[in-house]
Amino acid sequence: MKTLLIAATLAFITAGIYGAIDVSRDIKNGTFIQYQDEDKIVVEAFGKHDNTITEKKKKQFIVKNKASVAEIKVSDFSMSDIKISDFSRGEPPMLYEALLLEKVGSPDSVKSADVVTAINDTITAINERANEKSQKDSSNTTKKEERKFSLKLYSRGRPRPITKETVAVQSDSTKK
Amino acid sequence: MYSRKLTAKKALVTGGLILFWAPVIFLSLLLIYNTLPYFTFNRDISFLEERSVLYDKPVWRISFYVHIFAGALCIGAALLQFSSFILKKRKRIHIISGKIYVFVVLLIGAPSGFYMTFFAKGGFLERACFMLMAVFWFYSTYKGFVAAAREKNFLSHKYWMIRSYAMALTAVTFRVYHILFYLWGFGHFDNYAISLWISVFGNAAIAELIIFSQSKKYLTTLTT
Repeated sequence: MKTLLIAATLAFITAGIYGAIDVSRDIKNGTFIQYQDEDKIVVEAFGKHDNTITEKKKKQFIVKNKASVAEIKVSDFSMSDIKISDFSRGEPPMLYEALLLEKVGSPDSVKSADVVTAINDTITAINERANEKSQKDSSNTTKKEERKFSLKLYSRGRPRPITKETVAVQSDSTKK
Repeated sequence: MYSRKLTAKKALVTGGLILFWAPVIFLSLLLIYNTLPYFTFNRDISFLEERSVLYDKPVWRISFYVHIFAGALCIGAALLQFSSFILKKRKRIHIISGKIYVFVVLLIGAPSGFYMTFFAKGGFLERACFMLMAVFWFYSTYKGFVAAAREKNFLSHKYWMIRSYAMALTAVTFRVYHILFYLWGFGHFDNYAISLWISVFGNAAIAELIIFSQSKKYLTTLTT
């Protein structure tokens, strides 16, 4: 009985200490869960008193926001034409969209009504960039096809550009 | 004339007991039934979706599953504890289910719950309320167990276990108040906070009222 009581007391105290440490760590890292924020956003977004907003409306709103954040893919932020002069401390400079995303935070925490507008701006910016890219890419399709062909030639998966020399070497090896 | 009064009094007491225990038993079983979906370990449940950030923490996730398992077990075990029939005629059942309740609360239910209070929904005051509840749940169960097992003071054991059960039942009463205030048109967070405070302090007050009505020296029940 004594062992049980000591074990239980120790377990309870340990849980308390660990919980306090865990919370302080979360606060320090800025990852502490804020339940009220989500509610506030909904209130701000609807512009009505809290009582008039139903749970269904809130859920729809939150799901909608989460979906819009999820649409932003990491691949959309890939950079091209990077110069060494663009780098400070060895890190690539942040794009406008990436900066906005950082402001938004993780997809799970929708923090304020401003964030929603920021997300929409980001999506439109990405779409515009994607359109520009697609126009550029259409001219480069022939190059891509060549690249695919070269990949097929090399079985170890090391793509090499096909030049006149390589073709000549290949033809020599087949003759031998 | 005297016997009629006595019969009426007895009928009133029995009716009161039925009115009290019938919803308690039904809602306790409903609560246990509602915890079953969580054991599919699927995170697509609204309660877990809301805490998706916490769910990614292994310690919180383990504490959550341990806590709901412990909660369901201790609420189920406690239903048998206050039956005078079981206490008089089937004392063995009372002892076994009592031991299950005590072990579950002291070793897993209260510690896991105490850890989770740090991440509980609501503001600082709501978290403090959860913490207070966890501490009092642990303390009352501890005192009740020590009173029976070590001191053989069964009256003190009874009173402390009433207090402990009142804390365990906050899980049930909280949901009842939550539904009532929702129907009343309260906003989600106001509803949550009010339901929490009323369920914790309301249950504690009801427990103290029951103890006060049964004990001759009420204040001594708090110290022994």
